[in-house]
Amino acid sequence: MAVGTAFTIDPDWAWERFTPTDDQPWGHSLASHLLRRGGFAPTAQQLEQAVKSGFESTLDGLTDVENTSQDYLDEIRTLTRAALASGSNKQLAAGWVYRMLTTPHPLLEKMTLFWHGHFATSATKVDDAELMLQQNELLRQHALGDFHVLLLEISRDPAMLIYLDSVTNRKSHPNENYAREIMELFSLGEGNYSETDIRELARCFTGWEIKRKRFRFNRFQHDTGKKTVLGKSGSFGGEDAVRIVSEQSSAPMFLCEKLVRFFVADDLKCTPELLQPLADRMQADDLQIAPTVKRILGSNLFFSESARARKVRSPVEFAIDLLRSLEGTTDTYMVAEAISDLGQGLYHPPSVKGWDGGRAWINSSTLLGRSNFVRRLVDHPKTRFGKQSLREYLDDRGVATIDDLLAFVQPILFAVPLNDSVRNQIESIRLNSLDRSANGFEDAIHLLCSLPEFQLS
Amino acid sequence: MKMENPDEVSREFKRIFQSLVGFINIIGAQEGNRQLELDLDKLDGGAQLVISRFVPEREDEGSTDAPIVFNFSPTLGFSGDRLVLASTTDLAKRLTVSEEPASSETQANTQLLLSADVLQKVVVDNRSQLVAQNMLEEGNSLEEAQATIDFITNMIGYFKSAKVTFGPSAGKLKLAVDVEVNTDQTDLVSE
Amino acid sequence: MTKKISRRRVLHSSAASVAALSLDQVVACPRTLCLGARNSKSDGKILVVVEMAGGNDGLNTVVPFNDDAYRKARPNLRIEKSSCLAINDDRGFHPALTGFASLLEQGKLSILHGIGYPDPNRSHFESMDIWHTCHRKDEPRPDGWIGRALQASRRESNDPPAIHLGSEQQPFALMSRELRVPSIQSLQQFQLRKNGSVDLSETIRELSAETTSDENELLGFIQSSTSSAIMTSERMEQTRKQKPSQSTYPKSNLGQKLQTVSQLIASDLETRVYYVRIDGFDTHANQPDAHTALLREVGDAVNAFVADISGQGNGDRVLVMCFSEFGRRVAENASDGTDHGTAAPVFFAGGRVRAGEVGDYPSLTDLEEGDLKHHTDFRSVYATVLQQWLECSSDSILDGSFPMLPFLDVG
Repeated sequence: MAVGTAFTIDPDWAWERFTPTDDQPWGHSLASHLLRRGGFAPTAQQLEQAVKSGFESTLDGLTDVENTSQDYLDEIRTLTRAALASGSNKQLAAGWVYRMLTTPHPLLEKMTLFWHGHFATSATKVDDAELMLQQNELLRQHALGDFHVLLLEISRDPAMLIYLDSVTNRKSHPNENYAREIMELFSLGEGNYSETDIRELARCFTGWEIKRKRFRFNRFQHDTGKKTVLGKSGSFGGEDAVRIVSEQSSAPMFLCEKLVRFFVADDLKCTPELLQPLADRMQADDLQIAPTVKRILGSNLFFSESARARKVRSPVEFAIDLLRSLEGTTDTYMVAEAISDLGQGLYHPPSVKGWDGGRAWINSSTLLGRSNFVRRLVDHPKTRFGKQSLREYLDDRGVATIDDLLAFVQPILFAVPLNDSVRNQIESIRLNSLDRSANGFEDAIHLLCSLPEFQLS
Repeated sequence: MKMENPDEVSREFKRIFQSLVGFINIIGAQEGNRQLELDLDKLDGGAQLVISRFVPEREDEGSTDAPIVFNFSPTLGFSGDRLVLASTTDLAKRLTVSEEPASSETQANTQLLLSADVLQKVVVDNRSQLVAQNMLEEGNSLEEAQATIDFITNMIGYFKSAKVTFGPSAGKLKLAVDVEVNTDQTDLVSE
Repeated sequence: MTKKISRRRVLHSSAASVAALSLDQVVACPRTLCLGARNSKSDGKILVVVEMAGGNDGLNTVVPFNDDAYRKARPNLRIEKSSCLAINDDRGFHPALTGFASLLEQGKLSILHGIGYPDPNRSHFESMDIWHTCHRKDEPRPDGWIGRALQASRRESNDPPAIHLGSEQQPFALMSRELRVPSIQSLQQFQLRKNGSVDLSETIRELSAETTSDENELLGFIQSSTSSAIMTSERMEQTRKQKPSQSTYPKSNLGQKLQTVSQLIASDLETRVYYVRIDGFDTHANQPDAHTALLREVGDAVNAFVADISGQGNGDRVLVMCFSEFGRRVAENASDGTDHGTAAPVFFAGGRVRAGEVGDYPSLTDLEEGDLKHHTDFRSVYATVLQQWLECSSDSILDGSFPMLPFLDVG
């Protein structure tokens, strides 16, 4: 079932619900794959729990993001209020790291991050923590909701319109910037609209503006004339226009491709044939996001060789996977800054196109940066694992030797089995230093996370 | 101060001390001051010092005319069952390794940059911001962060009668604070 | 006057001897090591951009000391002929620009006069954005001119296409839709932190050299990228240990940044553009001292850099461009300063520049609302750099065709 080779994937088979078999039993390996991709790397205990409760139940649990406790929401509110009071984008980014580290619903954070890259908006230009936070909450609220609603809401989002230079939109001079991006980058993809569609769509958005940080409709600036957008004619307003765009048949195809790239594999050949069944279902669901994501995460393709260990960890996944799987806490400012240095500044996507992901994460400077970040993290005075030192944490879990450590981290953190040469190399750590004063475990984590294998999820 | 349960208490105090330094930094940043950096020093005989010092900016490194704040280096020392909180590393080191608790004359040497009244007001006014910072910087939960901040607020209460004085000392202008500790509140004794 | 010349001579010869010294040191070992590690050493052209942020006063940088209009407009701030480092009978460098004077004498500096753009914007941010993107505020501008160039001439490399050196926000000029450019503060970011138990560098290199995975191409890609990153780090370590000609760099911020750039280049990175920034040119008040310090920093740092690069044998591969978002008003203000203006000179330094002045000095009598009129569009400067140095077609990158300028000597 390899991809990009002579084998082709049967599209119907690809999106059917996966059923564990003797060849592919539901065990640590598959459970960890699901939890990692659909969220962040599990702790050893969470992984055991997932193996025990079975595939369907784990998938249900992962995709059920309702019911967040009031206590947790209060905890997060303390952070967001403080960030608003200080107006600091750094504090905002650290706050999101905190949330990703502590959330009971990792898929929700992952999808919020997905939409942040999709509807990329940078605080560098918006320069207003309140509006950035407001957008972040909008993305989270609809992250697994209805795409029609999400697209409409984001089209009226102050941060988005500031970012795309669309705070004013006058009848006499319709702004084509948002009209172009909503089709090219947000819902249809290039080739699915014409330049005339852009001009006509821009006319629909006239009168939409941002005043005192709020969206408002200025009817005096709205072009009430007849427009023809994507084959439909009428004296459309902005709401009509967004609906016309999201109802295009190319929309589910475009969204499914992006979701499949995000969840399944970086280099997968996403042909229209392969995506068609998935896109059809999304169309039938009227662009509901949650069922589509669940279909992807529960599919045959998702658990196939074409998907497993076929994604490069993003900087966020690199940091959060490592910390979450070992119940790590640390200075979240430091983490946010490191993630940013590695190319994924939260609230600071590099362009309106968001992050490319995949191989683009990797170059000599980021690879060295990843290794150095792990060192900095394990040595950082604020870093604790389950509120203890790494050794104490591992002690409590019966990890006493380097072999124990390998057995402990392999299932939760590694998508590729570590081969014998890695094991042999790590022997030298065992020989050198596992007395109480040395940092043998830290050194081993540092080495393990610097390996090519760890860059994959 | 003597500690009842040295291992546990010293760890707890270390944590709190780090938070206190974090604080001074927040308040300092509001005033445009430089930041304190934490360092750990182990002395012979198992004594430990948690040192904080102002970091000179790059171009100031090695300069001889550094501002006087660099003489202020709040340090927490541990030795066996003894805990020392002093305003300079040297002082803490001397106090920590000395056989006998230092006499009260060292108290006059204790220098502190802070006015306790102001500090406590700042803390109370900014409680929610400080709680949030503590969560983000320490990775603490809301509950833990609140407990830490409230504990520190109480701790500052011990320094209520701090008196700030300027004066030349050893050829340098120094800002000195006489810390009069409210010993009647608990058995915490400052060295 | 004679005194000035002798100062320049001294500077000139000392730079040359330093260059000779570092040449001996550098050629000796790391080059051969690199050859072993990689089939061929990098030999592509490199652009180093020095952004002088705040609006550099062009009139007091290249001083038209004989011009009556200059003398009249600058009663307090004018620099007398006797203090200037003469370029010709009419113009001279600011006295602090001994670095540029020396470069000019070595035939390694080109001065482009009267650079600007139509309908000039006097806001720092807006004008800087225009320089960075070549687009005005009301046009979509998702990327910068260098970013577009790098994307257009994209090539397979394990090294970043460009590197921004500094802790400030990444320059807009480097943005592109596809390529990501790292911002680094120091060489340390290319050096692996140590591991207490194993030789990390060697261990990872060994482990990533084993391309065990025929079936997982992505893993193969990461393994080869990791090997390459380790080699880069090791080359960097070698270069760092050499510490070539450290003494020649001024201790200034810009000097240190350019020294780091030089070390990166010496480590055979395939990176094609380096970007550094020096801020503070917004001299509204008490200009003389501030401007003197800034120009000295720029001149000395660039001079040391060019000497160092030549010493490495990379003199013909590296081009330095110094620009500012605008010049300043012709007339000085009441607080011994100058306000935001328009046209200003752009400087290029390196082994392949056509030394001397390009274009007329802008007229100080034919002004527009008290500001100099530009006669050459900054996009002509870019077009020349793009076509003749970075070897890519400039029209699509600049969204138009702009005439070349004769400041490069590329055969």
